[in-house]
Amino acid sequence: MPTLAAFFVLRAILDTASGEHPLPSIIAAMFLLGTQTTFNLIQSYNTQTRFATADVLDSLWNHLAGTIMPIAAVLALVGAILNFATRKPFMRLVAVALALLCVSGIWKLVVAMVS
Amino acid sequence: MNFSQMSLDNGILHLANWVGNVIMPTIAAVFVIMAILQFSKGQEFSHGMYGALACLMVSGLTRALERFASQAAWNNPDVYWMALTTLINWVGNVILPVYAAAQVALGALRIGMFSYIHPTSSWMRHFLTAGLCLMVSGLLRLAEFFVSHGTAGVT
Repeated sequence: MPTLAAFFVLRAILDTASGEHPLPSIIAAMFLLGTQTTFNLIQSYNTQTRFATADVLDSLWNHLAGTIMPIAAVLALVGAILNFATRKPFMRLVAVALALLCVSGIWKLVVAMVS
Repeated sequence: MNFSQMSLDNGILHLANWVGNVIMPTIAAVFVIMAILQFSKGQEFSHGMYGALACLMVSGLTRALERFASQAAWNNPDVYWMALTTLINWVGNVILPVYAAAQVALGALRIGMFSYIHPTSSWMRHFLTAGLCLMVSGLLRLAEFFVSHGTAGVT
């Protein structure tokens, strides 16, 4: 895993050199380094009942919407500022940053629209 | 390596903190340099200047967006709409009046340097911009009035 993670860090550098974004490779490297902790986290979500699969998926969704997405909002805001300063379109990233902070609300909005 | 202490959450959190607290203030200096160079060539430099300011305000802007997005319960379907409305209100009621003040100052400076009394003079554009910045709500209400009273068509 550390070797693969190191490969992705190198790939992030090469991606940047070729004009692409390094963030996906960096996230992949972090994900690989955190494999053990992610496994423990998913294991802690297992309720050992017949609904265990649904419980694990539900808890993972909560973790994604409540913990990961607000942090991603900061990265989106940073991207918006960089795009503004370099005169690229930035309003989309501001809207995305707000949306990442409101994931649950948008989910409820879609549910309300469907029902 | 102790893999039990490494997690994706920590990685992304520390990445965001590092970018926001270390890299962005450093990049602010780059944007100030860019703004000075663009100014020296007579090019538009405000993006570099405001960009540098925003780079130093990442934490504050994040807290502002968090405040905008937390005005209702997490399961309220209107939370995103409220966040967008508050963002627009903030720009219209906080940022634009400050921009208006800057435009008034610029207009005054232009009058001092070039005193042509003509509608196309740039000092007049600055004063008009300041007035428009302070009238965003009024202009929006006026457009709404025209639309709501124009449904019957021209008679």
